[in-house]
Amino acid sequence: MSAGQGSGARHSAGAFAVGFLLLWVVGYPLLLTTLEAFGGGSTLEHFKTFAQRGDEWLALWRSVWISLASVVLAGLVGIPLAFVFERTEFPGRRILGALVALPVALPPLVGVIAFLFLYGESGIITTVLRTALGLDSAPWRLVGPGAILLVHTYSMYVYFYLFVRAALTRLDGSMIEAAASLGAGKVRILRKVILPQLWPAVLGASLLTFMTSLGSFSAPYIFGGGYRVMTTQIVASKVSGQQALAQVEAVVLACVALLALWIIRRFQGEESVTSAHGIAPERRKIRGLGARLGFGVVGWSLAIFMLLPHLTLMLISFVPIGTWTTELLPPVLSWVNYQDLFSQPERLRPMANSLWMATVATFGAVALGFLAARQATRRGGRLGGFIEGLIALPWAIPGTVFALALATAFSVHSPQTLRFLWVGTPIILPLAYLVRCLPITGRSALAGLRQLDPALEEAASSLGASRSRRLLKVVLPLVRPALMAGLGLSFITALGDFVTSIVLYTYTTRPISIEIASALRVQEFGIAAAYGVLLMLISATAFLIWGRGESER
Amino acid sequence: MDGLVKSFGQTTVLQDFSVRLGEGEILALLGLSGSGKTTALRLLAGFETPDRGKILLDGVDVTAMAPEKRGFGMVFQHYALFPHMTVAQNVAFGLESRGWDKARIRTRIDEMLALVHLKGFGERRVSAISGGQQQRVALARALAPEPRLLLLDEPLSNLDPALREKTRDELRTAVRRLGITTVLVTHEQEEAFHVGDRIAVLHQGRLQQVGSAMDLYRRPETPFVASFIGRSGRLMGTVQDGDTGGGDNISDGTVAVSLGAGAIWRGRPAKGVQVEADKQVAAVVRPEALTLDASAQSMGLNGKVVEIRFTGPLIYAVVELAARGQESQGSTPRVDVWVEGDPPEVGAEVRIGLRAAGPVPTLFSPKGFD
Repeated sequence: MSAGQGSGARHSAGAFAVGFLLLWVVGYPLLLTTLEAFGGGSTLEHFKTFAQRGDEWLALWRSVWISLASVVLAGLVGIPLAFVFERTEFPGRRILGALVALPVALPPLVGVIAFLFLYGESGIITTVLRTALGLDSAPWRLVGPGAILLVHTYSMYVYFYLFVRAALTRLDGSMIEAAASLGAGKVRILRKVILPQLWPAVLGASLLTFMTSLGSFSAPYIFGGGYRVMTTQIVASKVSGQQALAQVEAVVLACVALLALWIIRRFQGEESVTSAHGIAPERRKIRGLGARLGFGVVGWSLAIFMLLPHLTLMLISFVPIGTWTTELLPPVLSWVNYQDLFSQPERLRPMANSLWMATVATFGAVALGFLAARQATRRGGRLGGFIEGLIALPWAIPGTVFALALATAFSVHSPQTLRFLWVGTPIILPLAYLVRCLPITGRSALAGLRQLDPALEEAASSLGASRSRRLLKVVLPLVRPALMAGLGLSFITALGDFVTSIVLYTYTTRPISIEIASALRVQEFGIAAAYGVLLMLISATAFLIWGRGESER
Repeated sequence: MDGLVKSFGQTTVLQDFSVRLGEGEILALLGLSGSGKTTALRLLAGFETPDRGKILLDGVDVTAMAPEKRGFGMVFQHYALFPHMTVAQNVAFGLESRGWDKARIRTRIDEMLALVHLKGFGERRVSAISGGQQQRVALARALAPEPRLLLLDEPLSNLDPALREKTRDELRTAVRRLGITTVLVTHEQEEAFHVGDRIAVLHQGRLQQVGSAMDLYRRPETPFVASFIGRSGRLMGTVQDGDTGGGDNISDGTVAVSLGAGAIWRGRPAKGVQVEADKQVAAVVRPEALTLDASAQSMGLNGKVVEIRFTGPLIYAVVELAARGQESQGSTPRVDVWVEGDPPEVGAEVRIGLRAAGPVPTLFSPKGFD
């Protein structure tokens, strides 16, 4: 129970207002899309068309198996890395441990183009190998499912790495000692004590990887070629004018995503998550010169491998257009691409667009996320749960689906049904980013508010503080680190967004990601890379300023 | 507080709770966890709304008034100090809320910090001071706006025993000096006895008894108060009629009770307990009412010492009573006896009697202890 029982009616009104706003921007577009997929509720015709087309089923199957394979591959890379960096001690462990998490700060499209420049047919590594082996053509082609999986593994193992590392930190060392004192050997301790406690973290990372994979657009779009998955299929249908089919595809993909979420949550629900209060077990020191050297070499090689995409992107950004053709390394390096970016108004516009739209969306998402989280925590019960569900929904629904849903809802001017003609205006993209960022800001706010001792607000209230004073002087300063973390991550997500932008942008509102894709299409690799570097730098700065707020607490 | 009732879902946590507080009085709400004492305090503070009943302050109904409007001060169990503020900012918070001017706030902070012996700590972060100091900051913060009523929610429970005793004395002194009407919630009898002018004992949401520490100990009104407050043993007995018992209902209000094996002791019926000849009663006996002294043993009970409890100033012999044909429900087979001088050996056969000048056993219906 919260302070100020006398204003219960006002609380209810606030909760209903927030619930209504969320329902309008999150639930309503999805509902409209579903209804339109059913032809306004009267026909299954569009679904029949979908069901009869083999390529639709194929795309769906590909989306599912690629997501499953991404989970397995990311887990295979991320979990052992977590053990190495959390359970052993060797020179450079701290800095390497941080570098290994780098892909998380790389916007998806930027990561994809970096891979293209590195391992693509004329990429640096490919060219080096081709020259070294004396081959006529590239030893591989970065297309199809293999390429998609490579990028997914690179960008998503971080979830497993971070989650499992965090779980290992929380592991109670005395539990391991208790097991050992009861006669358990190392293998038995790992199997019976450590792994069961890591299971929730592994499941959490699996869920995140699966959902991210299912909604992944950049990798299949750039590397897929003719290999269509559901997200690229939706955009292709939309672009070719098959709106109804695109809506059916979106509904089907959303259903698969929600089904996956439900299945994995069930697994999670059955697991008892114990919060250990003990001290984490000591790290095993790597002794002996050979072993230390081995760990050092492997560790640094790994870090360089992780850094290669970033470094490549930087290198390419300094290569003037058309100057690097068959040479192993670029013959000319200059600032010309950056000069172009900052001197030509049309090149500058996407940056300005991305910055203002991401800023507006982020602040909007933080405000709405905070209000919703506050109502959810204060109200509890069904209404609280409903609000929490609405906050989380845009996370479970692939970005392409949401973009299409917003395009459906806001392409009609009908104020009495709360639909406005916002597609094609500067409103729609910030709104789309806001909705996409809501789960991030909402969850951060929820986490911050749940950590807040309710007695603090009661204390303020007993000291005569009004509602607004309690909010401004007590609640907001204390949840600020959590809100800042949400703000930083949300800004990075909005700034680097490609998946919703490609469905909703117009020429005047095009963001950086769309400009990168256009530059790639017309072979202006240096320009694309320079945009990528700027995006990366702004993201990293935002991450450093805001994203680390939580840990400063 | 008049007839307060509060339920959470199906569970009623406070039943018909009524207490009147005098100006400047310190009332301790004492009970086990889940007894409803914290709920009573939260109702008083305004953090919860009662399902029924009223809270009146100087005759004005404040039941529906928001907490910030009541003008009460509260010290929370975990202090609830604002971690992002300094000690002085914490103390100033309530004053700023009430619109005090800056100069007056500064003076008041100094006064309050001096009152709780924390002069010079104003600029410290609250995370940089000890638990005992945090407790005093919480008290200073609650007292600063001159509250009409001070509410203390187990304010000493987070302190270690040595510090608790010292802080308890300081708390009482500070509150006494300012003359603020205070309600203290605690589950510690010693704390309630020491700080409270009167103590209200709660059990399972019901008010059991309100009175001074002496009243509660010497004249418990309910079986719960009798067994909860202080050490006690229970002996089953039968009320004697005038002939065998040497006269019942004599002027001091005691009656004779046969405890079996020829022992007849005098006891005083608790408030509302009807006694009549041959009726079974449970006599609640304090350790200091009993003696192993030979002079008082003509009407004694036989038993064996099973344990000696040394508590520093006092020594208790735990005596397991021999079979008396009275061991029905509600009786404890062992009683604590206060020992003066050297204690007997464990295993020694003893005979316990009622000390002539000791507290008189209280008589209850045996059903009360079910």
